[in-house]
Amino acid sequence: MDYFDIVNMEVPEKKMGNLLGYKKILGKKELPVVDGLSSNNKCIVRGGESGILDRALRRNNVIGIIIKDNELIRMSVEEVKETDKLLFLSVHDLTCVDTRTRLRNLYRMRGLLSFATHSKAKVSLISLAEDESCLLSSIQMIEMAKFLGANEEQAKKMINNLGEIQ
Amino acid sequence: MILKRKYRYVLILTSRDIDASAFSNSISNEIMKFMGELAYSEANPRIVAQYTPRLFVIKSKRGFEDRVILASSFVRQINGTKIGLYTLKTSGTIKSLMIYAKQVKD
Repeated sequence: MDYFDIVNMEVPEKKMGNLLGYKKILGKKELPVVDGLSSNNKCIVRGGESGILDRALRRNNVIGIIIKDNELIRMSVEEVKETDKLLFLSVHDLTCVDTRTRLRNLYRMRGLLSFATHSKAKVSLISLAEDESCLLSSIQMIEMAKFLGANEEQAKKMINNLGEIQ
Repeated sequence: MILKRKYRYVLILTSRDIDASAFSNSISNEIMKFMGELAYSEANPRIVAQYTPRLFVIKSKRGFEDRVILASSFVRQINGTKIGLYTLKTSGTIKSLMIYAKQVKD
């Protein structure tokens, strides 16, 4: 199974990406994360209101959404399922934040993943690393997905989902 | 009958060069912080080999390697220096990791 990742920085060298176990890593130039509906290029939309997220999901250039602060917005998750797009969970919210925020995000992300799995929405786990120290290998990402409540098969699928879109 | 203890070996790459002796203690502390003392004492992770200043092997009790991998994901700084730890491979024998590490070095 091929694994993919999205980072919020320059793409690391291909050799490094392969070493970490990814077929391809997309950087902020190829697939940016934007707040709101400002971009007309291929992007991921991050937002905290269901109105904006639902409108974003109906756009062709948006491949998926990131819910701000990992709050469970049921309507948007169901919209992800209906539009056959992706709900992205960012590991950056767990690994590169202070302890208190990490604990809160862990709890919320578990709830979000659980609801998305039951709704049969496609979920993708991405590192969204802002620097080299926030990067994770595919093995670590799979363990992180399992920690969030996914089983082995789901965990691998969560790192592989991006391949179907490319 | 004496049961043989079984271990798993985890090959870890760091984002920057590290001095082995200074690193051993601090990485243990960081991993313990994220695993918790009880899980740490059961897993008993130890650095057993260092191939390059960026490539080393952690040995842990079998069945606990997933927690060591997860804990290493959360480590962001060691001795005040920002660092990333990437798990490249896990194996039941250190020999197979050595072969893989040679390929990575080249």
